[in-house]
Amino acid sequence: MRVTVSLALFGLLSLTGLATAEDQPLHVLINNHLTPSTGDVSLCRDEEFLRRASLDLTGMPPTADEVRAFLADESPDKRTQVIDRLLASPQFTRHLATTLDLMLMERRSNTNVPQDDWYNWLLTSLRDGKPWNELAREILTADGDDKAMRPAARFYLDRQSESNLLTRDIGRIFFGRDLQCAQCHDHPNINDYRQADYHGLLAFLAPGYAVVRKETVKEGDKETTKEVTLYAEKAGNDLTFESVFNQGTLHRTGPRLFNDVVINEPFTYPGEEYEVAPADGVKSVPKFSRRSKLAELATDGTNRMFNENMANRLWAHMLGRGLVHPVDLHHIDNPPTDPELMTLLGERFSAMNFDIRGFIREIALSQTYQRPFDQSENVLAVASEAATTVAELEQERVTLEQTAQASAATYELALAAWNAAEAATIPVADELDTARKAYDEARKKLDEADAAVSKAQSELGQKQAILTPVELAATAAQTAIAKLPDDKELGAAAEKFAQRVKEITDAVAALKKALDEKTAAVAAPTEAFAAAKPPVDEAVTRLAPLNETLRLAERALLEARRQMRRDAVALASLDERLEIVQALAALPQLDQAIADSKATVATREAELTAAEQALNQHKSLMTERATAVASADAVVTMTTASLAEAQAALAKRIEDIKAVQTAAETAQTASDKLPDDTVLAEAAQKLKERSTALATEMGQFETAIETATEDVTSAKAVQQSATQMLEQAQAELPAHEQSAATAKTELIAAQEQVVQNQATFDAGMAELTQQFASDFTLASMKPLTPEQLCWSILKATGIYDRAWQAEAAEVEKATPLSDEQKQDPAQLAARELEIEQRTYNKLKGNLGAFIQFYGAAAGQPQGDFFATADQALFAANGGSVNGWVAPASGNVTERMVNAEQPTTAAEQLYLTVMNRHPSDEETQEVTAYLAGREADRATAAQELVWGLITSAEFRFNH
Amino acid sequence: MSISYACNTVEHGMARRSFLGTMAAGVGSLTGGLGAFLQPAIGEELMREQKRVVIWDMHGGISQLETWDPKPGTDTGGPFLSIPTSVPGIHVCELMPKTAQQMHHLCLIRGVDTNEDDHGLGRYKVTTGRKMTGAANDPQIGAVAAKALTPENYALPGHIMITPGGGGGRSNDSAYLGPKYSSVQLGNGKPPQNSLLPDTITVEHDAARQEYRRRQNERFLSRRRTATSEAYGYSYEQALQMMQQRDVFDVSKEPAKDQERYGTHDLGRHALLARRLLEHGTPVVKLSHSNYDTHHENFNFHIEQLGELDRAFSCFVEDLADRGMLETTLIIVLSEFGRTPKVNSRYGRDHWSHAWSVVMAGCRMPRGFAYGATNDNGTDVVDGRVDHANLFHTYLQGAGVDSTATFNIEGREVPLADPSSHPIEAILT
Repeated sequence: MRVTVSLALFGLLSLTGLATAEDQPLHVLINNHLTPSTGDVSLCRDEEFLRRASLDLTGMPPTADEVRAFLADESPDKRTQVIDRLLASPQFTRHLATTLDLMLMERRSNTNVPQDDWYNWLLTSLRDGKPWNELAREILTADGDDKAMRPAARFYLDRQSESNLLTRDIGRIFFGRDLQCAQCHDHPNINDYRQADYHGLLAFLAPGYAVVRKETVKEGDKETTKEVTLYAEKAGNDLTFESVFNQGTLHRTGPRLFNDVVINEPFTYPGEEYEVAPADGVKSVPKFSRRSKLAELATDGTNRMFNENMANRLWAHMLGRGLVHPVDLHHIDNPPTDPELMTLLGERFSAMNFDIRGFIREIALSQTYQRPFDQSENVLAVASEAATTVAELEQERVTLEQTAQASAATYELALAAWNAAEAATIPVADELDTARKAYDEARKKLDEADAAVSKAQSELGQKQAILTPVELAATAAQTAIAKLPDDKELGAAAEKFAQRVKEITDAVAALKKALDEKTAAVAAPTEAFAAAKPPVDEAVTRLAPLNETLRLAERALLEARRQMRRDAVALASLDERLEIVQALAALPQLDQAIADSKATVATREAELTAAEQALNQHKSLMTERATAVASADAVVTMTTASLAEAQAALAKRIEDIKAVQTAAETAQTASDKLPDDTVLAEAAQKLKERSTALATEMGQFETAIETATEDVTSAKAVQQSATQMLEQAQAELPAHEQSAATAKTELIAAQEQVVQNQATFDAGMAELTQQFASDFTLASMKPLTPEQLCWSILKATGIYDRAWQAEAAEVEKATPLSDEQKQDPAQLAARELEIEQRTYNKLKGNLGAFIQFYGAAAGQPQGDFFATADQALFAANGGSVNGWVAPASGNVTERMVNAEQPTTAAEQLYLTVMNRHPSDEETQEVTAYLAGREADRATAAQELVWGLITSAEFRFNH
Repeated sequence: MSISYACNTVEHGMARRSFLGTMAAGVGSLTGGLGAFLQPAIGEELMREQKRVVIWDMHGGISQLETWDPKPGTDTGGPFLSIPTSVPGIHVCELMPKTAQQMHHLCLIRGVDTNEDDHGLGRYKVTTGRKMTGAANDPQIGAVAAKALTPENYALPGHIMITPGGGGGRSNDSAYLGPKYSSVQLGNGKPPQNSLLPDTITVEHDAARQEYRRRQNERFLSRRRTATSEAYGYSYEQALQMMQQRDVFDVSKEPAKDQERYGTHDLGRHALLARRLLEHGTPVVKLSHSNYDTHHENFNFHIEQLGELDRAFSCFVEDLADRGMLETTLIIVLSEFGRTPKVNSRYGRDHWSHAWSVVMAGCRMPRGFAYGATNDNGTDVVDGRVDHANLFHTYLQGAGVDSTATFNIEGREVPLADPSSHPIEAILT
């Protein structure tokens, strides 16, 4: 399966000249752009592909049956088929809705919009195929007033409508730029993010606020009042800000998007800004909504940042990391892995009308998505050619650096010019503020005066209205009294009428006077109001050209910034490639170092052997010499003994001679006395002769002694010499021992060097492997989200499928499909959707614990991996996982228990949980594990399932 | 002084050996975090230098006038007298007699002005060293310190919060530093959640399944070793350590004599548990005392509350000093703010952030020192005015951490403390 093509460093070379033709499908363009750094263009194995695509597209792994079927499928386009099947499944939109929920809300608490409302709105939108820009526009313009669209307002409302928080999150989530640190000063670590960018975006959102409206709700006969929080908007002002590092220098900005100039906002006089003016419990509506403008500018398809942000996020969703990574740090010093591809993805996403499903499909079809997970074996072969590439890149770098420096300098100049233009504008803008304020006050005073006139008029009117009937009555009373002059009561009444007429007439006169006064009082504020207008107009007139200059300066600044950005990104991008190639180029040396140190070990081993041999030889020499000394000692002993013997013999002979002499003399004396005794004479003679003879033989004895003495001397000489030789050898021993020890130490050092070199090499390889995952040569390791982890365990333990079957049976029972309906794909799809929804509802209660342990904190990015002991304690000792792995109708544990052979159990286990066949080693291990556990096989099987579910291979998508 | 790294029980030794044995099999060379774990000797060495931070959080806003900065005999002073301490010239309120005797270890910061009288916002400022701007979500001092101080190979949680009531689980106090540095809660001093093997699983079977998990991991890691996959495997070893070292979290293992000394009330138990945790090398411990929000009956309430605090805190300081642990442990006593000098009609004091006190001891803090001063009746700072950002820098510097450095969080360079502020240089030794 693994096809190795040794097309060295293809991916590292310049991409110019590669096809970017309009008619090519996006996945082909992706393939062309991201060729593996190792030249190894092989794809991952089928079982890996199936697990990967299932987890990425549906949020859960495949079943064992799906794995078997896919492995057995021999059609050449089976991967495309799987991708399309998964994309069409109800779980795809479910998983996508969950993904977008996490991206947009980051597990913030639901204070104003219930989670279900929001989630279902997302889900329905995605099921209906709503394009991303439309979804985004609905979110960015939502105010929570329209019932149907209220869920969309959750983005604002559950951020408490806080404009700084919204600025940060809209910057991050919709534009890929985390401007947080630029709130109080230019970003300390990112040259690209300026305080003006933050406040420009804030200016779109600062007019927004939460308003609480009381609404009457009718439930049957009951009427209750409830409070509804809405997102309202006021008319906007310029924002002023200063850096905490450079206090005293004030800046001003109107609304503007990152990399754009301040928007052209229609001028309105104070008092004329609103369709609905702000008031307590009223959702104000300005004539010009900055927020709507923001939504329009972002989503009209031409905003590169908006387009590339989502393209990059969807890419990261599939590949485990963005072309720009982290996905909310698009900036100069953090270039895309491939800048051209980043541009292309943004353009294509926009061109395909922000169709999320279609875009994901293209990514899934690409070879890049299907790269293997295992470390390439081809690395060293490629590495040997890297040195040349390093030289080329370094050469290229010199030019790029110069260009980047030049454009950075140009940018600094443009920035200075813009600062100057801004400084010139600010006083006039401040004047306009003052004039507007004066105008607004004059207008209010005039309004008050007008209101006073109206009031006086109305009072007068009311009085006058009373006067006529009272006059009529008075006249009538007078007529009556003329006819009945004596009627006193009538007289009193007539008088009363007359009196009233007078009173009212007086009051009317007073009111007339008051009206005249109020009317006269209008003149001054009218005049003041009239006088307040020219300063406004004048300031507007004066400001216009200044603003225009500022706008021009800013356009120049932005152009300089774009150029600087392009150049800096090119340089940074080259540096990243250079880093990889350098690491690659270093590999052969590191590999050689291992070989060299191994050779040194061999040499040292030989040296040690030689030294040890020499030592041993020396030791035998010493033994020999000791033997020689011993034998010399023996000779000395022997010769000394011989000498003593000779001396003893001599002494005895002397005794004998003495005795014979004495006998001879005695015999002679006797012979002398008996001269004729011939026998005697003969005896005497013989004794004498004998004596003489003996005396003569004495010399021999002496000679013998001499010889013996000589022997002793010579033996002693030999002994001395032998002893000396031995001593000499003994003296030489430490030197031999020392060289053997030294040789040993050197060998150990050499061996350690091998280990160290190997470690350096391994570290280099690990680093490179990481780089290869970053440049998409290898597949990334994607930690499962808490939701994915939960669904995956439910799936692996059979709980999901069991719930599905139960729901399917219930639906079928309640509303059975006719045979005809069963042939209708639309009916079947609707049915599947319904079952999916019911299964989800049934099981979603399990998500909470996983989110609690595996989810990041509310309001934090949810993609960063972390592993903590409390998670492991939850998995090891908590109720969920331990409960789910128990044997139950047809789940993997039960199938293992029922398997006749342990090999079958192993097969079931690995196909279900790992979505692949077990290796021989794994089968043996399972067999060994189950051996001796016949009595509690279910428990043992449960332990094995637990062991795989908690292993790293399960925890990650790869 | 020598502090044992984790614990020295036989079981622990056995477990570690078996772990080493397992991991060594089939592992050519190790890179990354797990490698460090395999060298316990380094742990011992580091432990001697290991800096620790313990935070005493006085919930609700403790009165500076009834504690660290008394003003007896003035219109704002209240009924209590001030008493001399073990440091000539420094006086504290008479409600703190035992603590007064430990003053030679303490450093009082008397010119604190955090300019925020709302509980939530004030707490945010004091614990994160920053003003809450809405968009911000900053990590608390404990999480920052834990990230800076926890050794890579430290098996137990590096950041522990002893909560006054129930609770348990993981707090939400580390913001962008990630849940790894969030505090693990010991609800009312109880051991961590899920740290007991369920009855249904025998120790032997657990060992077997863990062993199988390890071998499976090793096979996977041999295909491609990454920091994340190693960290994941390591979290299970950490969990096992926590199960085996569950005693570390059990204050009843402390001598009865000490339990008596610290006091049998919650704060006493929690303080003793904090000592135990620090002795076992926990880098950051936080404990709280509630509730000082004395809008009514400020004085009666402080008599009662400070009785507990004085006893537990004085024992704690004394013990750490006796054990030589003050050289490496920074003690911080903070609150969201102080209380108004003006006594209200209900004999209460209200929220007051403009002239109050924070106390530190140990590490780089001067011993027996009072920095800053308020005026005669405590209504304003007249010397050494510091705010939350200065204090935050100082806490970190105090524990030997460069507060002007940045963390790299998944590619983001994030300053540890507000880059536009600075520590109180004058007191750092």
